[in-house]
Amino acid sequence: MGGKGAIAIVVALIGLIAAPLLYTAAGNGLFNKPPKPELTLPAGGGKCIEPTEFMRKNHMTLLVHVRDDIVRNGAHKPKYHIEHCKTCHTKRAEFCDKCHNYVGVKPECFDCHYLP
Amino acid sequence: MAKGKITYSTIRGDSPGYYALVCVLGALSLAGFGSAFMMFSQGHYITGMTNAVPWGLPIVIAIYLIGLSAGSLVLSALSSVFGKTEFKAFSRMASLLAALLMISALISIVLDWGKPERILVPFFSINPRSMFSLNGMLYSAYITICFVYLWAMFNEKEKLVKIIGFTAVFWAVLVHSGTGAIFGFVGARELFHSPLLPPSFIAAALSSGTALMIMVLYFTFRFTGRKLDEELLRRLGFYLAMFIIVVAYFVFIENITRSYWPSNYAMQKFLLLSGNKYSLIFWLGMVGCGLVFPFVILINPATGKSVRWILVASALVVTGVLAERYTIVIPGQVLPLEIFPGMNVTSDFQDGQINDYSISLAETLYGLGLTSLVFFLYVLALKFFELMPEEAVIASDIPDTSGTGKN
Amino acid sequence: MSELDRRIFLKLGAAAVIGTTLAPGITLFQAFAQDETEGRTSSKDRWGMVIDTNKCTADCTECTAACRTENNVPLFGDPRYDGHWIRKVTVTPKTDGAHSRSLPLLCNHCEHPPCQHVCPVAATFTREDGIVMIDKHRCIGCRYCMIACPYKARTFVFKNTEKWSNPDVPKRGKGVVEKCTFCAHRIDKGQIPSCVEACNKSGEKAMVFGNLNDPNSEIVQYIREHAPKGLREDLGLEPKVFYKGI
Ligand code: SF4
Ligand code: SF4
Repeated sequence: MGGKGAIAIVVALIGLIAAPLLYTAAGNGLFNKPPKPELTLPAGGGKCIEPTEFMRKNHMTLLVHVRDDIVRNGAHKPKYHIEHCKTCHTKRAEFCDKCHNYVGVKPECFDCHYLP
Repeated sequence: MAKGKITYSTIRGDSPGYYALVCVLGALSLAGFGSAFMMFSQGHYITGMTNAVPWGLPIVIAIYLIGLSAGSLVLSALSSVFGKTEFKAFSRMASLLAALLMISALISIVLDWGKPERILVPFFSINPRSMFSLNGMLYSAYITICFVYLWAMFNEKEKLVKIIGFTAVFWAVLVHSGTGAIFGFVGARELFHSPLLPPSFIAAALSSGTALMIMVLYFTFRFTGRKLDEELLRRLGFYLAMFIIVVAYFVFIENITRSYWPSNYAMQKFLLLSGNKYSLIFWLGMVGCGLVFPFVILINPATGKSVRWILVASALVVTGVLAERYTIVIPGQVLPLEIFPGMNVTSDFQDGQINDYSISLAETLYGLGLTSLVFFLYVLALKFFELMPEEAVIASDIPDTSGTGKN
Repeated sequence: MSELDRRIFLKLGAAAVIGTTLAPGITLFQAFAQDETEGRTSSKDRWGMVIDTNKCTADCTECTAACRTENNVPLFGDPRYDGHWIRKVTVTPKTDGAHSRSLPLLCNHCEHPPCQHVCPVAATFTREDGIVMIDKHRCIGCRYCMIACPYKARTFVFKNTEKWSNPDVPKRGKGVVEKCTFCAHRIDKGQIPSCVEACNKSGEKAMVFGNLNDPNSEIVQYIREHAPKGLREDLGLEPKVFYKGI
């Protein structure tokens, strides 16, 4: 069996998989970290329903559970519905998007759902 | 040749012709993936599919490749399961081809989804009542079986080869019945709803698989300059003729049953007599290329013994079965659904009118690309793995069924 | 590494994996435990609809227009790709050309929905209250359901749509299948579907919507009195949209 050929294929495959990563990294400057997002606290000084740390880590899981609950069981405005978030965090661009851009995630939610 | 001992080796694969072949096939597959990416990024409107005809060429290609795959796997098991040792020489190639065809078919199905990025969803949420979901499991197990079978053959584990050979044949039948059931179980569309679909899918798989194998064998041996006993092809040609009879029987029974009952007159008239592209594909493609012409070629003593003519017949069958897949998938959707029996229906959503489906450029590239992918990988694999026998000849101690020697 | 070492190592690894996967789940479980459980759909309801084709006028498109605005149903200006949750069809008996009728056609929310049976990922499901819905977050866009639905009630999203005519309802991202939901989002708020509302408002009053499980509801009374029929009842899907006068 062509041992060299096999190695070449593996290397080529790894290269192929890593290509997009390398491309992005090169585009951003390899070691330039973007500045940390600065979030302003919503006016009014209200409190989030859960501690900030918890929310930062788990909001997506909460939202996914709520989503399934609404879609599948017709739950009506459950506790963790994003509608409640909107009362304080009124602008998506100033809250959600800042961190999402920083960590480079692109949630599909807003492709269809309306959140100004 | 010493009895039972076949030496396999890799091909050299350094001639310009080989590289050209690899490049062409690679480019075609890339074009296929490119058009899949277009479908993914633009939306499915770049294909010929519409809301009335939601399944197009990608599904046709997928079930076509699945059929070829099941056929090849059964052929590769001929030697170990059915005791036809003269076919042992190519069982490695055949089972590799089976695996590749199935992989390509799966890719074709997945990339045809509206959301191929959700590829992991089917693994986590399963609907055991859905034929698609069940088939997904059958297909992935099938690929595994192919590779285990290959591994066993590479390591000359005779016992294991036999056991897995049996499993493989059983599984190929299962896989293809399942594929037929995707269509056969749909009660909403008269042209799909038929218990005959699973068995006739198997028959078509066998005939197209054999035909493909004949062509692949001939060309692989030809290009590598290795010796292939023409008697082998002749025997495969004989099998092909037998399989064609079975397919023809199913096609005949299915259509005669449908045509008999008055409520189906309109449908059958559309499919068989209307002279539009669907009936042309039915008569010329499916019946002509798939059944009549190759059968005549194969049983005619003047042509049936000549390798050249056997190749022509195989090429006809491979095309004809593609036409058959098309005839299964497309006309069933093109015909309007009978929502109000006995009434003429009009609406702004094409109710009650015959829909149109024409294959778009993107779909053509897609189909071409995924078919080339199979052969691209196959040609590469020949170079890196010991798949090909040094020579494929029929040992003299095996009785010659058709009675002639070499010409 | 000795055999014993390796086993211990594996066990530790397994424990670590289980721990890290379960721990957040447990915290979340606690978070959800506080959530109230009322306000879900229940099997006490069984939503259905009756359409009186005698009252439905031929050129009226109030229901379809209302549905488009309410549910952002896409209109691309190309009849091959336009979405249709509810559409007007004209049926004429083959034997009696003069006696034609116009009626809206929508998802029948079948009791035995073939679209749900064939869905490979269980994206199509039936809610407790009998509404057949598509979980667009899970749908892979294989379109098997469109093949299986005998009423052509489903459409595929061929392109992204850009605007919301009603921000309460999502617009469309391409690649999933959509269909009528009986305005489930409105039902959950205690309203009736917007096509029925529009039909009532226009004065035609050709549609009756209600709870098939409630013996006193208008729709059950209506069915008792007029015995409307479902479409293609021979298929045995037990549609929950009934038509009077065809
Ligand atoms: S009408 Fe079609 S889409 Fe609606 S529930 Fe029945 S089968 Fe499903
Ligand atoms: S298109 Fe979506 S809803 Fe329809 S069968 Fe496929 S996954 Fe299910």
